[in-house]
Amino acid sequence: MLSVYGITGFVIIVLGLFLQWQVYVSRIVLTFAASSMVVALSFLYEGITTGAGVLIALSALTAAIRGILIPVLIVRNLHETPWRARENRPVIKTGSSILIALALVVFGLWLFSWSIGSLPGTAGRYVALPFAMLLQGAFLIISRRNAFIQMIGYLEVENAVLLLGAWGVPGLPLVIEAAVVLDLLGIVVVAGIIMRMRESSTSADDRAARAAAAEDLRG
Amino acid sequence: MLLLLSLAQLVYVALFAPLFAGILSTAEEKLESKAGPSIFQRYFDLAKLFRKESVVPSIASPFFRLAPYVTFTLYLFLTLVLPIITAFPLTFGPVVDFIGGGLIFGAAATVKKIAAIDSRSNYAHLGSSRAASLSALSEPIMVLIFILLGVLSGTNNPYVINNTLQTSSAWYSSLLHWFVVGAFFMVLLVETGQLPIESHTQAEFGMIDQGMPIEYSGPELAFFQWGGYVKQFLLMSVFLNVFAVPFWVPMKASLGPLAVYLLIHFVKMLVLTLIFALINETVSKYRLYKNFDFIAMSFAFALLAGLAFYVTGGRL
Repeated sequence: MLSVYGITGFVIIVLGLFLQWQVYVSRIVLTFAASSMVVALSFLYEGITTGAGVLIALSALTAAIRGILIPVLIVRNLHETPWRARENRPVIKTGSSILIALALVVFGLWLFSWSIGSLPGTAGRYVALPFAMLLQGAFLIISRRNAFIQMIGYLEVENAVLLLGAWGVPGLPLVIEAAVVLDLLGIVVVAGIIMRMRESSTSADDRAARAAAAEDLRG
Repeated sequence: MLLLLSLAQLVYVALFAPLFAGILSTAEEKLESKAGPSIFQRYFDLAKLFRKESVVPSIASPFFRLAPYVTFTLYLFLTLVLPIITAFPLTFGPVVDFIGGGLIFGAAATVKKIAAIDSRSNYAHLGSSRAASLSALSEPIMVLIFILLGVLSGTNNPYVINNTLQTSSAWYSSLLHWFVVGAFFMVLLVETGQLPIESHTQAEFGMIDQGMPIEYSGPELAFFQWGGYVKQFLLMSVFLNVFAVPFWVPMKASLGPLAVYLLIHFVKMLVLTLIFALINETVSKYRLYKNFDFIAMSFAFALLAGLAFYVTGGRL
């Protein structure tokens, strides 16, 4: 019988690999939104099957904030800074990034099974999957130079932590889970403000140089 | 009986392979709101090429003329050993397993490349070089996929794999199986030259398989192209019969169910052809070096199949 944990875990791992594959920031944001929706759906399923209202509430919060609000905020920021719309100079080439992310998944799964093995909750050994996703998110942060993609990497790590908490420690109070979801909103808003302040505080010469660079990108 | 069925399978594949290539072209044009060529256009093209004389580069060796006949024969041999219309091995079925079939595909591709290089044409060299770069990465992935299918059936025999998937809903719905399906579909796009890997034009920028036969003409070109259609038909059939939709393939030698399955197989192929047409019309072509990212993703899917088996501890 197929496990919902297995399906959810592997879908988010695949979406994590898609994040490494994409070059355009808007697609990366959409992929992250899809990943968050999968996490929310898994909470909803678990909430309905176990009758835990807390999980249903958490599912709604995750879908609303991570699946819709944060992606919308990032995409809106992106429209104001169109030269950030594409990763031109990744630290590691895309193909290599995919393979390294895959190797990190293998390493994460091995490390988890070697050190912890299986947890007593219903998720059992599937908790290894969000752990592997955590490494994928961390790698996304260091493999790209684009600030928006790095932020998505951070959010993916947070998604992994949320899932790890829900699967590994099933009785975790809603207030803690909700705090993890909500603090991200604050981080995205603050990061957006900092980015805009940085843009507006730079000199006119810098702006002109950037505009010229943007023209180059137009092709 | 088995020998007769083998012959029937051979004739079915050889006759209908150009039809599906024609349907693909027509469907693509229809999706662009154009009238498009007839679905039988590939037959007309082949007939025309068979009537024409051959022109061979003066510098080419005799191998150049021989190669299309060799590759066509190799593809026809594969029609005798792969599960196309039956889920039980025909006369030549036990001769090779999946790895052996993969090696024959590889041998045909190598013969094509050597012949293309032998023509001394720059474009043929360019096509061979690009095809070799891609297949050097995609063919090991195919071997990995076959090995992973060996996990679920305990063998590399395509007939056994088909029977296992037909009879076990647990294996069919397992993550291992679906990751393998995903990986094979991506490799199928690479091997059959669909978008986003390759467009069917002779534009120098993206030309891969179109480049290799550029010096061929007449009956040799006809066999080269016909062999290509048969290869596409075989790979699509393997994808459908062994991987994605292994159902309804007759497990016993009985003429009634076989005749019905011929029709079902035709419909399955038609649906996959239309999916290809949809992909070719909606996806833009990758720049050449981005193809390797696509192959990296298909490798990721194949490896994730193994990881899914590992994480579930061998349970389904």
